[in-house]
Amino acid sequence: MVFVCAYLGIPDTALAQTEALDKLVERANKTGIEQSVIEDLKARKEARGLSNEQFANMIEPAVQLAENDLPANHVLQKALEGLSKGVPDARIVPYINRMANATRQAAGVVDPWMAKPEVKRVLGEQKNSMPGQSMRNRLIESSSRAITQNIPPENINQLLTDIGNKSVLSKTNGANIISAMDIVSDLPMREQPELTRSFIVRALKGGFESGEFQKLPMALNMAQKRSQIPASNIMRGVGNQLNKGVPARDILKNLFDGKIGGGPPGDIPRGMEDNPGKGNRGNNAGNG
Amino acid sequence: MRIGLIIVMLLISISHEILAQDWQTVFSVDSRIGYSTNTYLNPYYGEWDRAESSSFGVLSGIGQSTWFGDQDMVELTGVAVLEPFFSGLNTWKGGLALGRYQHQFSHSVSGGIEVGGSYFNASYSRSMFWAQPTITWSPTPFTQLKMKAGSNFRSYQDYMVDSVSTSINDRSDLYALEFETWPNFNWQISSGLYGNLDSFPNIQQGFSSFVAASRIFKRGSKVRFKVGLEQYQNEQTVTTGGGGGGFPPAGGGPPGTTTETIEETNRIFRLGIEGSIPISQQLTAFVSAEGLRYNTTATDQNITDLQVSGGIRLTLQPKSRSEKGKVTPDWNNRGETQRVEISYSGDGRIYLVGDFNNWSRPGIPLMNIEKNQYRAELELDAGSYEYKVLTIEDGEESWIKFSSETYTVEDGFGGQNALLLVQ
Repeated sequence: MVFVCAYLGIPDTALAQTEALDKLVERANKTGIEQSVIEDLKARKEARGLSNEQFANMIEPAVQLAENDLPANHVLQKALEGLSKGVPDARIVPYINRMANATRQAAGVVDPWMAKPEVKRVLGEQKNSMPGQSMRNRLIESSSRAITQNIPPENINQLLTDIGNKSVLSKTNGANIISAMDIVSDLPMREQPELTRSFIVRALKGGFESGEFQKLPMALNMAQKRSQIPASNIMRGVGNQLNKGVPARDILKNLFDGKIGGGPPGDIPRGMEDNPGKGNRGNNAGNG
Repeated sequence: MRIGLIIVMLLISISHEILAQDWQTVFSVDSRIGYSTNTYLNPYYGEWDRAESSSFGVLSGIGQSTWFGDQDMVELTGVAVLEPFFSGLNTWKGGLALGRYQHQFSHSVSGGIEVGGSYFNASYSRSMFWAQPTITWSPTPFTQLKMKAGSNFRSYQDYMVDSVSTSINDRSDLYALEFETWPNFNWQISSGLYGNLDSFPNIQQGFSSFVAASRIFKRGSKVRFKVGLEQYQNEQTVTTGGGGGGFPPAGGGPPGTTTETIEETNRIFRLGIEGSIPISQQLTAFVSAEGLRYNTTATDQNITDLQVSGGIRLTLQPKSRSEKGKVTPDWNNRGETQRVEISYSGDGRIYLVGDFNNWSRPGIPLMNIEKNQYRAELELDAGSYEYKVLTIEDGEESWIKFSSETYTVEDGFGGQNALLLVQ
């Protein structure tokens, strides 16, 4: 082979890189990584004119994850995304490495949690429950998303511990837990971990599903901007009424309900002069 | 002159600053019919008149604009009301304007001011103006305490007192303490205490209060139960014997008379239930029933009144200016497939690009189903999918920005992707 390359004028290093890449692709195939993903990556590598080494750097972290029985598709998707958006490989590779590290850290939290007998039992007893391996992989993916966004693994661990409580598990299911983990990075988990945990736990207990979880971060953000309780904003969101804020009907609830009669409550109603008693007296001027 | 110029420049710069942020406008029309035995229970009325039991209608229109930045919010609201009675009472009509400014001091504390004014008339007219500084404290995301205190000025014209047309002007310095908590996402408990600052903290001299529990269902239906208590005390000077003496007594009254001061307490117990159910994104149906029981210690007589009503509310939210040119993908699960609809007024064709197609460009085309309305259907397994919307016009590809209503996440490369969760 060396002689052939020398005859064709191909440098040894290029040959070595090609062989290394072939081996890497072979390893990827063995781990079960989707062939179509690798093919798409290869096509984009050619279109971008990346070297074999640059390409190998991009997929190596995912292959290693897959070889360690860890989910890798989200990492490959990020590589595809970066190439599709024209992001330089010098920025793609570090981010992919960061995602791979976060995935390992997430597995270190998720695997012990899923091995807990009470978690296994409650989730296993549920109708339409997700197969254990599938749930584990998705939970690792969503937890790694949070860790990649600088949420400490300890916070994820504590959140899972709270969710592992029977009172929570009995009112939700694996898919909802994954949805909750998907949005954790967009809640103030770093600044207010306890509050965020209580937020998510109550949502799971309330039977929130993916559609509702998707609205939580925005509802929280809007509530803070408008000095409102997030829960009220969230429930409007659940009712498909969340549109950047609060419908007028809620702001003016007091008016619609006739509680203030066109002014703030607390003043004495006029017109009680004809009552059996003489009615009320106003503050500074009296009422009758 | 110079000060005026400075103020105008300041207002212009503030409004530019505010408009540079985000804003939202809501219009709402409320149509209701009902029956009550006391206008005190009628929407917008709030005046005690139980001379005639009457059916009534209410047509009210509301416009509200809100501007908000990261820490500040300004909200302006205008309301027009027409409330005809199907009896001898004249139609109660008028309007109301509210302004609210709120500044976020920290995660849990905000403060601001609420100002408002209203004018209504029927056989007499009533105008009010009030201003109330507010402080709001949210120790947790599920609990909030709001304190307000300020002055309310009332003016009545052609108001009949003992069959004499009278003009009355008064001022009350009022306080409000409002508490709201959510034990979970389905239950809301709220309470309020309102009264006169002059009597505070001796609140039994006059207060209005309520406790309410609301059960909120998915898709926005709501049932609310409420109990309330109002109490007002006054002192009356009663003169007996001696053939009269007038009011107030002068110099202790004529010989042989007895003057005593009686403290009178009026109480109103209120009990109500209301429910609302969204019929569509724009329409909501609602019903309510409320009763009150009035008792006065002067005669120990009880009075009971009732109000029932129901109607329809139409709410419209025009697209805000800052959102134009952005898209809000609307995903719906349709059995095996996920349907996405996007409203987009720009030129060119639009495509979905994301985790579901390995980020291949141009991506999954959206069909133009009607003017500015696009649709696509995807078969997706459960999972989370990051994606973007691409437009191609004259061979030029560009990403379309997402509106602030779309849930987006950082893409790790300095941009934003929308996130779709499929269950």
